[in-house]
Amino acid sequence: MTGMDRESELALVARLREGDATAFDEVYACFNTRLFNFLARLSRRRQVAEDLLEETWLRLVARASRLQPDTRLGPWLFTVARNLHASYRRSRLLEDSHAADLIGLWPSGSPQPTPFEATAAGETGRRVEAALGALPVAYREALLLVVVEGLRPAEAAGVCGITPEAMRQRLSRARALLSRTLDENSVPGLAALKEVTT
Amino acid sequence: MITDEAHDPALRALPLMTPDHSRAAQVRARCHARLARRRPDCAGAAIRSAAFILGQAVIGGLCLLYFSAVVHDALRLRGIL
Repeated sequence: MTGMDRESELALVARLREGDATAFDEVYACFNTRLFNFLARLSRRRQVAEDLLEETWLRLVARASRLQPDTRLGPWLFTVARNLHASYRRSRLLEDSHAADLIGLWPSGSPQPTPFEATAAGETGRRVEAALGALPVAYREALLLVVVEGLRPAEAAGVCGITPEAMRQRLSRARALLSRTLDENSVPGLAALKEVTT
Repeated sequence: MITDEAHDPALRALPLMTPDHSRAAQVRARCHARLARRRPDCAGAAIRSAAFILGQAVIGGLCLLYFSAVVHDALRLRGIL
Protein backbone atom coordinates (compact mmCIF):
# COMPACT_ATOMS: atom_id res chain seq x y z
CA MET A 1 0.00 0.00 0.00
CA THR A 2 1.65 3.20 -1.20
CA GLY A 3 2.68 5.66 1.52
CA MET A 4 1.63 3.37 4.39
CA ASP A 5 3.49 0.60 6.16
CA ARG A 6 1.91 -2.76 6.90
CA GLU A 7 1.34 -2.06 10.61
CA SER A 8 -0.51 1.17 9.85
CA GLU A 9 -2.57 -0.67 7.26
CA LEU A 10 -3.52 -3.40 9.76
CA ALA A 11 -4.50 -0.76 12.32
CA LEU A 12 -6.57 0.98 9.67
CA VAL A 13 -8.33 -2.27 8.79
CA ALA A 14 -9.09 -2.86 12.49
CA ARG A 15 -10.62 0.62 12.76
CA LEU A 16 -12.59 0.12 9.55
CA ARG A 17 -14.02 -3.11 10.94
CA GLU A 18 -15.34 -1.09 13.88
CA GLY A 19 -16.98 1.41 11.52
CA ASP A 20 -14.55 4.26 12.24
CA ALA A 21 -15.37 7.13 9.83
CA THR A 22 -11.91 8.72 10.14
CA ALA A 23 -10.33 5.41 9.12
CA PHE A 24 -12.59 5.42 6.09
CA ASP A 25 -11.44 8.97 5.27
CA GLU A 26 -7.79 7.89 5.43
CA VAL A 27 -8.40 5.00 3.05
CA TYR A 28 -10.45 7.25 0.81
CA ALA A 29 -7.72 9.90 0.65
CA CYS A 30 -5.13 7.24 -0.15
CA PHE A 31 -7.03 5.41 -2.88
CA ASN A 32 -9.77 7.58 -4.38
CA THR A 33 -7.70 9.17 -7.16
CA ARG A 34 -5.84 5.95 -7.88
CA LEU A 35 -9.06 3.97 -8.18
CA PHE A 36 -10.61 6.65 -10.36
CA ASN A 37 -7.64 6.63 -12.75
CA PHE A 38 -7.69 2.84 -12.87
CA LEU A 39 -11.41 2.75 -13.62
CA ALA A 40 -11.26 5.66 -16.06
CA ARG A 41 -8.51 4.00 -18.11
CA LEU A 42 -10.21 0.64 -17.90
CA SER A 43 -13.65 1.89 -18.96
CA ARG A 44 -12.44 4.92 -20.97
CA ARG A 45 -15.54 6.77 -19.87
CA ARG A 46 -15.44 9.35 -17.11
CA GLN A 47 -19.07 8.95 -16.12
CA VAL A 48 -18.78 5.17 -15.91
CA ALA A 49 -15.61 5.52 -13.86
CA GLU A 50 -17.38 7.90 -11.46
CA ASP A 51 -20.29 5.47 -11.05
CA LEU A 52 -18.06 2.44 -10.49
CA LEU A 53 -15.88 4.42 -8.07
CA GLU A 54 -18.92 5.28 -5.96
CA GLU A 55 -20.03 1.65 -5.94
CA THR A 56 -16.54 0.55 -4.90
CA TRP A 57 -16.63 2.79 -1.82
CA LEU A 58 -20.15 1.72 -0.94
CA ARG A 59 -19.02 -1.91 -1.12
CA LEU A 60 -16.17 -1.16 1.26
CA VAL A 61 -18.55 0.41 3.76
CA ALA A 62 -21.05 -2.44 3.42
CA ARG A 63 -18.38 -5.08 3.98
CA ALA A 64 -16.11 -3.23 6.39
CA SER A 65 -17.22 -5.22 9.43
CA ARG A 66 -16.51 -8.49 7.60
CA LEU A 67 -13.01 -7.59 6.39
CA GLN A 68 -10.33 -10.08 7.40
CA PRO A 69 -7.96 -8.52 9.96
CA ASP A 70 -5.01 -9.03 7.60
CA THR A 71 -6.72 -7.58 4.51
CA ARG A 72 -4.47 -5.69 2.12
CA LEU A 73 -6.59 -2.67 1.28
CA GLY A 74 -5.02 -1.87 -2.11
CA PRO A 75 -5.55 -5.27 -3.71
CA TRP A 76 -8.98 -5.55 -2.03
CA LEU A 77 -10.19 -2.23 -3.45
CA PHE A 78 -8.72 -2.85 -6.91
CA THR A 79 -10.34 -6.30 -6.95
CA VAL A 80 -13.76 -4.79 -6.19
CA ALA A 81 -13.25 -2.02 -8.77
CA ARG A 82 -12.06 -4.48 -11.39
CA ASN A 83 -14.96 -6.87 -10.76
CA LEU A 84 -17.47 -4.03 -10.91
CA HIS A 85 -16.03 -3.00 -14.26
CA ALA A 86 -16.18 -6.61 -15.49
CA SER A 87 -19.86 -6.78 -14.45
CA TYR A 88 -20.52 -3.48 -16.16
CA ARG A 89 -18.91 -4.73 -19.38
CA ARG A 90 -20.92 -7.93 -19.27
CA SER A 91 -24.16 -6.06 -18.70
CA ARG A 92 -23.56 -3.50 -21.41
CA LEU A 93 -21.67 -5.76 -23.85
CA LEU A 94 -19.29 -2.87 -24.17
CA GLU A 95 -17.46 -2.55 -27.46
CA ASP A 96 -13.73 -2.39 -26.92
CA SER A 97 -12.63 -0.29 -29.85
CA HIS A 98 -13.27 3.36 -29.08
CA ALA A 99 -9.84 4.79 -28.30
CA ALA A 100 -11.01 8.23 -29.39
CA ASP A 101 -13.24 8.42 -26.29
CA LEU A 102 -10.09 8.96 -24.30
CA ILE A 103 -9.90 12.62 -25.12
CA GLY A 104 -12.81 13.28 -22.82
CA LEU A 105 -10.93 11.74 -19.92
CA TRP A 106 -8.03 14.13 -19.97
CA PRO A 107 -7.79 16.96 -17.48
CA SER A 108 -8.62 20.29 -19.03
CA GLY A 109 -5.31 21.86 -18.06
CA SER A 110 -2.30 21.40 -15.81
CA PRO A 111 -0.93 24.45 -14.02
CA GLN A 112 2.83 23.78 -13.73
CA PRO A 113 4.39 22.98 -17.15
CA THR A 114 5.32 25.58 -19.74
CA PRO A 115 3.14 25.71 -22.86
CA PHE A 116 5.83 23.81 -24.81
CA GLU A 117 6.17 21.12 -22.14
CA ALA A 118 2.44 20.85 -21.89
CA THR A 119 2.10 20.43 -25.65
CA ALA A 120 4.94 17.88 -25.92
CA ALA A 121 3.87 15.91 -22.87
CA GLY A 122 0.26 16.16 -23.90
CA GLU A 123 0.96 14.82 -27.37
CA THR A 124 3.14 11.93 -26.14
CA GLY A 125 0.74 11.19 -23.32
CA ARG A 126 -2.21 11.14 -25.67
CA ARG A 127 -0.48 8.67 -27.96
CA VAL A 128 0.51 6.42 -25.07
CA GLU A 129 -2.99 6.72 -23.65
CA ALA A 130 -4.50 5.88 -27.04
CA ALA A 131 -2.20 2.86 -27.43
CA LEU A 132 -3.09 1.72 -23.93
CA GLY A 133 -6.77 2.20 -24.69
CA ALA A 134 -6.47 0.12 -27.84
CA LEU A 135 -5.20 -2.91 -25.90
CA PRO A 136 -7.63 -5.68 -24.96
CA VAL A 137 -9.03 -5.12 -21.46
CA ALA A 138 -7.13 -8.05 -19.95
CA TYR A 139 -3.80 -6.60 -21.09
CA ARG A 140 -4.79 -3.08 -20.17
CA GLU A 141 -5.74 -4.00 -16.61
CA ALA A 142 -2.49 -5.93 -16.18
CA LEU A 143 -0.42 -2.90 -17.20
CA LEU A 144 -2.53 -0.53 -15.12
CA LEU A 145 -2.28 -2.63 -11.97
CA VAL A 146 1.43 -3.48 -12.14
CA VAL A 147 3.07 -0.60 -14.00
CA VAL A 148 0.83 2.34 -13.15
CA GLU A 149 -0.48 1.35 -9.70
CA GLY A 150 2.64 -0.46 -8.57
CA LEU A 151 1.00 -3.67 -7.38
CA ARG A 152 3.23 -6.72 -7.28
CA PRO A 153 2.49 -9.18 -10.12
CA ALA A 154 1.27 -11.73 -7.55
CA GLU A 155 -1.13 -9.15 -6.07
CA ALA A 156 -2.32 -8.16 -9.56
CA ALA A 157 -2.87 -11.84 -10.33
CA GLY A 158 -5.09 -12.06 -7.23
CA VAL A 159 -7.02 -8.98 -8.35
CA CYS A 160 -7.64 -10.49 -11.80
CA GLY A 161 -8.30 -13.99 -10.48
CA ILE A 162 -5.47 -15.66 -12.37
CA THR A 163 -2.23 -17.39 -11.36
CA PRO A 164 0.97 -15.33 -10.92
CA GLU A 165 2.52 -17.17 -13.86
CA ALA A 166 -0.46 -16.28 -16.07
CA MET A 167 -0.13 -12.67 -14.94
CA ARG A 168 3.56 -12.60 -15.87
CA GLN A 169 2.72 -13.92 -19.34
CA ARG A 170 -0.12 -11.46 -19.70
CA LEU A 171 2.16 -8.59 -18.70
CA SER A 172 4.80 -9.63 -21.16
CA ARG A 173 2.27 -9.84 -24.00
CA ALA A 174 0.71 -6.55 -22.98
CA ARG A 175 4.07 -4.79 -23.04
CA ALA A 176 4.92 -6.30 -26.42
CA LEU A 177 1.57 -5.30 -27.88
CA LEU A 178 1.87 -1.79 -26.47
CA SER A 179 5.34 -1.46 -28.01
CA ARG A 180 4.07 -2.64 -31.36
CA THR A 181 1.10 -0.25 -31.26
CA LEU A 182 3.34 2.67 -30.34
CA ASP A 183 5.88 1.76 -33.02
CA GLU A 184 3.15 1.72 -35.62
CA ASN A 185 2.09 5.19 -34.48
CA SER A 186 5.77 6.27 -34.08
CA VAL A 187 5.71 8.41 -30.97
CA PRO A 188 8.67 10.85 -31.23
CA GLY A 189 9.32 11.09 -27.50
CA LEU A 190 9.24 7.34 -27.07
CA ALA A 191 11.58 6.79 -30.02
CA ALA A 192 14.15 8.82 -28.10
CA LEU A 193 13.40 6.82 -24.96
CA LYS A 194 13.94 3.58 -26.87
CA GLU A 195 17.32 4.80 -28.16
CA VAL A 196 18.38 5.31 -24.56
CA THR A 197 17.36 1.81 -23.60
CA THR A 198 18.91 0.22 -26.71
CA MET B 1 17.63 -4.43 -27.95
CA ILE B 2 14.52 -2.87 -26.50
CA THR B 3 13.70 -4.11 -23.02
CA ASP B 4 10.25 -5.37 -22.13
CA GLU B 5 9.75 -2.44 -19.79
CA ALA B 6 10.85 0.25 -22.27
CA HIS B 7 7.48 1.95 -22.23
CA ASP B 8 6.84 1.62 -18.49
CA PRO B 9 8.18 5.13 -17.73
CA ALA B 10 5.78 6.60 -20.29
CA LEU B 11 2.90 4.71 -18.68
CA ARG B 12 3.87 5.90 -15.21
CA ALA B 13 4.09 9.46 -16.53
CA LEU B 14 0.49 9.49 -17.70
CA PRO B 15 -1.30 12.43 -16.09
CA LEU B 16 -3.49 11.88 -13.07
CA MET B 17 -7.14 12.50 -13.72
CA THR B 18 -9.17 13.83 -10.83
CA PRO B 19 -12.68 12.68 -10.01
CA ASP B 20 -15.45 15.22 -9.76
CA HIS B 21 -15.11 17.03 -6.42
CA SER B 22 -18.77 17.59 -5.71
CA ARG B 23 -19.61 13.97 -6.45
CA ALA B 24 -16.67 12.83 -4.32
CA ALA B 25 -18.07 14.84 -1.40
CA GLN B 26 -21.48 13.24 -1.89
CA VAL B 27 -19.96 9.74 -1.96
CA ARG B 28 -18.01 10.39 1.23
CA ALA B 29 -21.13 11.73 2.92
CA ARG B 30 -23.11 8.65 1.88
CA CYS B 31 -20.39 6.35 3.17
CA HIS B 32 -20.20 8.24 6.48
CA ALA B 33 -23.96 8.01 6.86
CA ARG B 34 -23.91 4.27 6.24
CA LEU B 35 -21.07 3.78 8.71
CA ALA B 36 -22.94 5.82 11.32
CA ARG B 37 -26.13 3.85 10.70
CA ARG B 38 -24.30 0.57 11.10
CA ARG B 39 -22.81 1.34 14.51
CA PRO B 40 -26.10 1.59 16.45
CA ASP B 41 -27.22 -1.43 14.44
CA CYS B 42 -24.50 -3.44 16.16
CA ALA B 43 -25.89 -2.51 19.57
CA GLY B 44 -29.42 -3.20 18.32
CA ALA B 45 -28.41 -6.59 17.05
CA ALA B 46 -26.90 -7.48 20.45
CA ILE B 47 -30.11 -6.43 22.22
CA ARG B 48 -32.24 -8.42 19.74
CA SER B 49 -30.03 -11.43 20.22
CA ALA B 50 -30.23 -11.19 24.04
CA ALA B 51 -34.04 -10.78 23.86
CA PHE B 52 -34.30 -13.87 21.64
CA ILE B 53 -32.26 -15.99 24.07
CA LEU B 54 -34.30 -14.70 27.03
CA GLY B 55 -37.56 -15.48 25.19
CA GLN B 56 -36.39 -19.01 24.45
CA ALA B 57 -35.45 -19.50 28.11
CA VAL B 58 -38.89 -18.30 29.32
CA ILE B 59 -40.70 -20.58 26.85
CA GLY B 60 -38.49 -23.49 27.90
CA GLY B 61 -39.18 -22.82 31.58
CA LEU B 62 -42.97 -22.68 31.03
CA CYS B 63 -42.87 -25.98 29.09
CA LEU B 64 -40.90 -27.58 31.91
CA LEU B 65 -43.45 -26.33 34.46
CA TYR B 66 -46.35 -27.64 32.37
CA PHE B 67 -44.87 -31.10 31.90
CA SER B 68 -43.88 -31.40 35.56
CA ALA B 69 -47.50 -30.49 36.49
CA VAL B 70 -48.80 -33.15 34.06
CA VAL B 71 -46.48 -35.78 35.55
CA HIS B 72 -47.44 -34.67 39.08
CA ASP B 73 -51.19 -35.01 38.31
CA ALA B 74 -50.69 -38.41 36.62
CA LEU B 75 -48.79 -39.75 39.61
CA ARG B 76 -51.43 -38.36 42.00
CA LEU B 77 -54.27 -40.01 40.01
CA ARG B 78 -52.44 -43.35 40.20
CA GLY B 79 -52.17 -42.86 43.94
CA ILE B 80 -48.44 -42.91 43.86
CA LEU B 81 -48.18 -39.47 45.38
